[in-house]
Amino acid sequence: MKIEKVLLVDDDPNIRIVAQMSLEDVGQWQVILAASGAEALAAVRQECPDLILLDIMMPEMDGVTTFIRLKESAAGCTIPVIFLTAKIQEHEIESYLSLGAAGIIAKPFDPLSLPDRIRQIVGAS
Amino acid sequence: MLSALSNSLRAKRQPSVKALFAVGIAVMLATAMAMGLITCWQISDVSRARQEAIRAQEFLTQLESVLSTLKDAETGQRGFLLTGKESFLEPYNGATSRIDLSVVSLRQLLAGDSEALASLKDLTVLAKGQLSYWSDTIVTRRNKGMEAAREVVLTETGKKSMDRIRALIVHMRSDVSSLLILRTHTLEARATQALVLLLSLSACASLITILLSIAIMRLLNAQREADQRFRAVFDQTFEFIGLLAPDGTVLEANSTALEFIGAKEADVIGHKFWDTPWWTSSPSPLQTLKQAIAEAQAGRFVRFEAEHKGLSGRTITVDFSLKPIKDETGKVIFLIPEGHDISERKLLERRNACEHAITAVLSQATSLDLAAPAFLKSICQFGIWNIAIIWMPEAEDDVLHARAFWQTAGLEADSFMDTTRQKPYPFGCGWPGRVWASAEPAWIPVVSEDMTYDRAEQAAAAGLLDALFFPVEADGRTIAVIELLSLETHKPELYFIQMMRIVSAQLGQYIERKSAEDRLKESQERYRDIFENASDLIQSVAADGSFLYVNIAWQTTLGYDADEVSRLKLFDIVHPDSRPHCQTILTRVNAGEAVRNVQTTFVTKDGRAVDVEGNVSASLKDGELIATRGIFRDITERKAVERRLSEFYSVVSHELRTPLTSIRASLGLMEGGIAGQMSEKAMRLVHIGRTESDRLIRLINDILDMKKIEAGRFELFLAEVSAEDLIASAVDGLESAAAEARVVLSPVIKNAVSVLADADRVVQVLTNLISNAIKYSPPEAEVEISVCQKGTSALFCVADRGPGIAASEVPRLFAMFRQLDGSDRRQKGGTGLGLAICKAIVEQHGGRIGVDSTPGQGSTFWCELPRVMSSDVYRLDNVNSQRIARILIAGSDAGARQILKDRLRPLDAQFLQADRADEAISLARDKRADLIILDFGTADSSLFDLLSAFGQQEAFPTPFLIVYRAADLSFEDRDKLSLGLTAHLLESSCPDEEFLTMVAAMLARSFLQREQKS
Repeated sequence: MKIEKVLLVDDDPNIRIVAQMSLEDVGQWQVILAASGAEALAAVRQECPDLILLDIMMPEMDGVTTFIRLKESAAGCTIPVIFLTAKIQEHEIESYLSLGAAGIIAKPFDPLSLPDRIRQIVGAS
Repeated sequence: MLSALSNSLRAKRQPSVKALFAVGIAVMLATAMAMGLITCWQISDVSRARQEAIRAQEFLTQLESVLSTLKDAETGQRGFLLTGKESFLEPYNGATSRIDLSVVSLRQLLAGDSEALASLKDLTVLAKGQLSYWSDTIVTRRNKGMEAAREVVLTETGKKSMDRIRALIVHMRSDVSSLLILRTHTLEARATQALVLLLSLSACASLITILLSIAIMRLLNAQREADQRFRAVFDQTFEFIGLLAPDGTVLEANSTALEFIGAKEADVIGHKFWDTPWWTSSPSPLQTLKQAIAEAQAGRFVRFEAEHKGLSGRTITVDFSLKPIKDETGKVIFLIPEGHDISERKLLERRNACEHAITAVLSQATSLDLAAPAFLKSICQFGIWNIAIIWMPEAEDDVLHARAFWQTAGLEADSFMDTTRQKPYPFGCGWPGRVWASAEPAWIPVVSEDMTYDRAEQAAAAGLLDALFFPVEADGRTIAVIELLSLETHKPELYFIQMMRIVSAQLGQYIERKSAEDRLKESQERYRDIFENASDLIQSVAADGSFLYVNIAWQTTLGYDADEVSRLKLFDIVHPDSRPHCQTILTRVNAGEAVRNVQTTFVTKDGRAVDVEGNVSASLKDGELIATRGIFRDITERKAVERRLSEFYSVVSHELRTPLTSIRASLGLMEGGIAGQMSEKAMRLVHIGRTESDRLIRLINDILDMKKIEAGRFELFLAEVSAEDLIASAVDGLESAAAEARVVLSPVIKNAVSVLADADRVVQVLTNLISNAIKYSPPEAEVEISVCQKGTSALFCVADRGPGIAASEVPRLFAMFRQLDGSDRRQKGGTGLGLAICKAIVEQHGGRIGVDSTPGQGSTFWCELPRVMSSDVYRLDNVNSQRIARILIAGSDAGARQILKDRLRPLDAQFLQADRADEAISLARDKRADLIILDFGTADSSLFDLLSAFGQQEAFPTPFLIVYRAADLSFEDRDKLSLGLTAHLLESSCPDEEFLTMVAAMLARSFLQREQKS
């Protein structure tokens, strides 16, 4: 698949900055930022991203809930979602995958190889 | 006399001699009569024959007379004819009358014989005719002369007639003769018949007589033998038997009875029974005997016990009886006195009574001081002793003191008793001390004559003669000595010694038990104090669930007072959620098992949950449950801490990672030049920052891993993977690190090996080992990563050319935070947890990890993992050829168990099945199952209970395969439902091949574990 626009959802502003740099400068993608689940749902409707990177531990609406909402929404149901999370216990990984996530990338991540990992997961060219 | 008695006793059983005699005589008489009859008959026959012969003779005579008369008449007639003289006529003149007479006689003789009478009639006619002819001739001669007469004669009428007469007579005579001959023959035949009959009769009679004689002889012999036997029994029996006339006169007495009083038959026979030595020297009153004889005379059976004094002076107790013997008319003809020595029985009864009394005393008395006098009294009364003393050492002392006494009433032995009370006997000193030391009984016939009996003077003053010392033993050592003294010398008999052994052993046990009880009581008091004041919850619960005991901590923690506790049942204090689990535990405990580290939740009076952990055991007596004892620690706090800690770990992990993510990413972007060019110095600093953040990340990951390992919740996701792939994957991930360190990684695949493993984890191990090797290798060195088959395992080796490790360091190597030295660790960027984690992962796989190293030459780290067998994987016989695998299938659905069993049939294993937790546990343990397959529709609470029940078993080594039929579980749930080596499987998504491979691999691991253990 072809990726042009990536939605990055994370409540931590620093991570938003470093991840955005990685995606834009290394991955050469357009990046849309969202600081919460609600923002993410709105952004999906407005921007129609090709891929969503979704944090899990977020206040108010956590990543899993956001994911389920996305999958329920008309706009978001087909967009691949990769969880970008610090919660990477084995059983957590498996349960995220069983929800229907395209993949999981553990935090901390290497910003130089992050886009490659993403491409690997979604089979992007 | 005795045979008369024996006959009278036996009369009805055998034919008597008399009867046989009677039969003999009857036979003789019958024979004689028959012979007489035959003789009479014979005689009458002979007489009849004789009469007939006489008659025949007379007949012949008369016939001859007729003929001669006729001849005379003829002669006379002829003479007259010739001479004419009348004198010649004389024979002729009388002839007619004589013939008539003869004819009359003949007719009489022939009465009844019609034929003969007819002949006689002819004869008479002829004779008359002849006579009349002759008369004519005579008349002619007389009247006409001789010539006329001669003319008549010349007619030959006379001659012819005379010839006929002669012929008739001859005929008649021959008739009679032949009749006579016939008669004679008949008579002879009859005589022969009679002779034969007589001979047969006498032969029969002789035979019968002989047979009867034999029978009589036999009978007499049998009678004689019976008499002898009777006599032998009579004489040889142990019993006293005799025979009395109804008036009491002794008729017989057997040898036993005679020998007892040393008398001969002549001394007693003919005497009155009560005048015999049996009774004259008996302590029993004669009146009783006389009365008994009177009763027996009247036909009644009499029985009583009597004392008799024998020749030896020994008095015995006899069970005496008198039995009247009656004749047919009911008249008493004999009395049988019978005596049975029951002294032994009497003694035994007394001994039993004594032992019984002693047992009763010892079982009831609460202390030795209470038991001893009654104990000693029983012994003295049985053995006829007057004083008894128990010598015992005080506590741990080595000196005997008189501990208890008994003496017969009225005995004046105060001085002896006073001395005894004050006298101590050290071990081996004096009689009590010596018996204590030797543990052998001792008897002193006369104490006053015994130089070593040091209370002899006082004993003599009291009139005491002999003394017996008897050791009291318990558990093979002498703990007391009994002393018995008597006013008369009586050597203790064997039976008394035997009884003393028994009762002294009883006393020994009693003393031991009492002292053990005392110690127990003391320790109980001590322990009760400990229990009462313990901070743990201690409880003892009866089989019905009521509380027998709870300590203060228990009451305080659960908020019940003693009165409320008495009304509580066990399950009242168990939290509803924990009840099924508790029930399982209780079932095991009731079966006698001590269950340790039970975790459960109690509930307080006000409904608060209290988490507890503790041990439960049962108190059984003869297999019967008396109580279950539990000691629990309130772990509510600890549980809360654990929960908080777990949350803390999770939060820390997340909270650390989040800032680290930014730091790491920032540094990474800077290092990667995304933020623009930097000076070399700045670049170096950024590099340090980036590598140290990487280390920090690894450290956090390792710490979390270790936490899981420590919590025992380290789960493997097993699959069959090729060792080559695992190595490749680890090597790939380390290419850059190796390149950076200028180290060459050389994978060497010696055999194509597959392992059943969690690939990620094994890669983690290999990565760790290889990265260590890279770190410690000098530049340009080679690190060889190899794998080969080794028995049932796959052996992975990572060999470096580093500095090597001293043998003494090896044991510490796999412990946590144990790098060889701290500075080295920091320099090499390690966390100090890597090898510890590797070890945990490998062991969790059922494998082993280790290192072989020569300092200065390098190290080879190796790990063994159970391999998956290739084509013969299902047969398992190369896993362990000694026996076939045993697989326990547990689950409540029998049908589902059968399906699993069918699927596993190619394995050629032995299958055990269980549908309940307790059954599964005991089968797994007793039958040494190699693999436990738990079959469940879904993960219900019973599965959890079952697993936790297994978990309570100490170090349960058997791997588990949990098969779900309905729905797969979340990983979180799988995590909870794991115990030791556990694999989870959704039955529907697992093809047979894969399923068999998995089971075979788990079995292989189980075997490997067993091998390693043994």
